[in-house]
Amino acid sequence: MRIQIERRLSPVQRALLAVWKLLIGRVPGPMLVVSYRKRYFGNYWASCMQEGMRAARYWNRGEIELFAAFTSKVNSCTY
Amino acid sequence: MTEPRSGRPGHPDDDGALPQHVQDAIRAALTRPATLDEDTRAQLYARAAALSLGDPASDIPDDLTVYADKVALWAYKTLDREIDALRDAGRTDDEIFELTICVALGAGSARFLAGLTALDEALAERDTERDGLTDTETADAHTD
Repeated sequence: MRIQIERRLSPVQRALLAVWKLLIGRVPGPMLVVSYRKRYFGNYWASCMQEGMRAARYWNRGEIELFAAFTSKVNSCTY
Repeated sequence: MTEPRSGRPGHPDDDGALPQHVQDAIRAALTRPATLDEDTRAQLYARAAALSLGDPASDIPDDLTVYADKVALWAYKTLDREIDALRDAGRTDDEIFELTICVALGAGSARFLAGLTALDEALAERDTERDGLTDTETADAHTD
């Protein structure tokens, strides 16, 4: 059994994830990873994601999402 | 041949070509207080980087090798039973999480730097070809 990240989150985090589930039916993996042990890794990785996905100058948000989805697809990784 | 962007991929002290946020994430993963000791985390990071580049890989604790190497090379093939095997060997979920993060960062940063180096080489090759064409055109113009 894989690490059950959701069980180890704070009540506030779990409530936020419940909203995500309501909105899109599941919690995206990257969201779970940045929520878990934020001071060890999550906060730092959230900054990387923010820069990579939102701070691009040459590509718009839709194009970046498309690149990420395509990369995940060829890596056999659900995005 | 173009020099690699990082002189020593897999060495977090020599990762200046990586974006600052990524450098910060790597340093945090390798040095912030955690359940795995810093030496083991550094070994995991370096081994994943070496494997990703096809270089000789340094040793890590035996019980971590199968899972760590699989995450480094074929992360999408990891199985629940491999996580269970680590638990059976006495590893906690926190250790497994840290191990996964260190390996993923090592493999990802090495491939990113290798990609940048390949891009540099391709651009340098294109520039060389362009310079050659320009020289030929200049010589033709003088001939005319």
